Amino acid sequence: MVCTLSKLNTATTTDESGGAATISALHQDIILTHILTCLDGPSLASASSTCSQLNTLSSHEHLWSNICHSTWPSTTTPRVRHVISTFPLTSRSFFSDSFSTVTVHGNHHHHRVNLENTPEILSAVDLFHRRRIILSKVVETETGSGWFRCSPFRVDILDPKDSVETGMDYPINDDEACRNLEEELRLSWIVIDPRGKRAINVSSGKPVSVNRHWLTGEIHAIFATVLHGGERGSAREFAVCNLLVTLGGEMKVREACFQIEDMDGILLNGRDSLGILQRGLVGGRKRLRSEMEGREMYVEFVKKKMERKERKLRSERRLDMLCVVIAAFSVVAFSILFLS
Amino acid sequence: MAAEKSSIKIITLIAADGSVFEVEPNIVKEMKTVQSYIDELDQNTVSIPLPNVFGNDLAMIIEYCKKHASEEETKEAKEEFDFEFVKRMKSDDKLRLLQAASYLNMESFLQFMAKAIAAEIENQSVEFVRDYFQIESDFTPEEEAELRKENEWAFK
Repeated sequence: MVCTLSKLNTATTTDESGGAATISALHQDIILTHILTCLDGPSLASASSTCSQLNTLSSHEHLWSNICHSTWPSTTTPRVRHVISTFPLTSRSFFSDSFSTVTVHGNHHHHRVNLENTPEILSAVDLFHRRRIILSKVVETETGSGWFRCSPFRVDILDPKDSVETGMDYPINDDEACRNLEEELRLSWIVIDPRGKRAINVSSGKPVSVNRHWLTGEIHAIFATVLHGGERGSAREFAVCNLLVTLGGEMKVREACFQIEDMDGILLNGRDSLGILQRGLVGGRKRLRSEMEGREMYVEFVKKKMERKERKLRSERRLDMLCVVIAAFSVVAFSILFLS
Repeated sequence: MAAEKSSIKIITLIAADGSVFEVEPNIVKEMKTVQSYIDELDQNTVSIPLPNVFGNDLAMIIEYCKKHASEEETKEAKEEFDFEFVKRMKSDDKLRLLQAASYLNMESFLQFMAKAIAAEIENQSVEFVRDYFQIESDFTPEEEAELRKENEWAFK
């Protein structure tokens, strides 16, 4: 093996209990059982790219499945475990699919959508408060029915009557509490395509906004990611995955839902949403430079949305003006004709 | 057996470079390699050669063991000691100490060093990790490019 961990191999020659072979085996063992198990996903990926020895060692399934399970407790459920085991590189593929954000730009929007390829999707959802898990659930959604395809797309994690205790204190000071929650709440919402063997994380991780409803006092935390929708210039050029988490009066999670909205602010139906998710699933992944970048992408989307609205208003106004001018002109023309 | 062990007053450890360390039996408890050696002997004084550990490293390991074997120290004080202990080490030291810990079969110290090493390569580039372990890449440029692409998701 050309690759040598030479520093680790110092002072091995005088060992009497075994030869060099056992020592090098021992080293691999130390690396595998002690160092690699302490690493997070991206660091493990870094280590695997250094040389073939570390590449082999860091490909061990248990390293990646442990990382998946500790990052997303929802992946420990039997259904998700089974689906992950069918992925090309099992847990490793699942992690690389779900850890980073989907790149918005790229040529994957040429991907042909075939809804029959995705008869169902799974949502594996984990909500954390100060790194403590407060909600972890998996929901299956059938996507084959006409009902699903024609009605607005919406995945709910909780039944309307259910709520989840968080153990959080009800905030006294409005603004400050919401700002704190922005720092403390983290959401992961992984959409899994069991047949396509791909997964995509549609959450921004950190909330893009936290607000208290003026009347009900409920706290709404919104998480979002922007996906590439359709043709350039159309309302679906970009679409936003809106994840809303509602905390009720006693700081219980009342609602956690996922919807997709286009640039006109219209909620997309199941068919269109599934198409957008399919493109996202096959698209590239990119790690964000910081947690702020997710929010920046959302802000940019909102800005584009506003510009679009203004443009629309302007052209409507221009059309109105034109109508008024034509009407006035015709009145004048008629009256001249009539009077003469 | 227990009575025999308690009769041993002082243990002499001889490092690879010949430096000698005299320690009490409770210090070497963590070093399973040394402990099993002592258990087999039936003497009042023992001297044990450790040809795989250098004097500087052995001194550091003994310092660590002394602190952690002490019952007077609080948990906080031990944690602070650990923090300072890692802080003054270079990366070479950590790797050598990990090696020594493995040879001496010191489970918790081994874990402690591995964590310290993992913390250093956490969130670092491929080049950094190569440099850290003095690894030479054995990938062809094509393989390298493919790995980059495969792991693109992980790099900022």
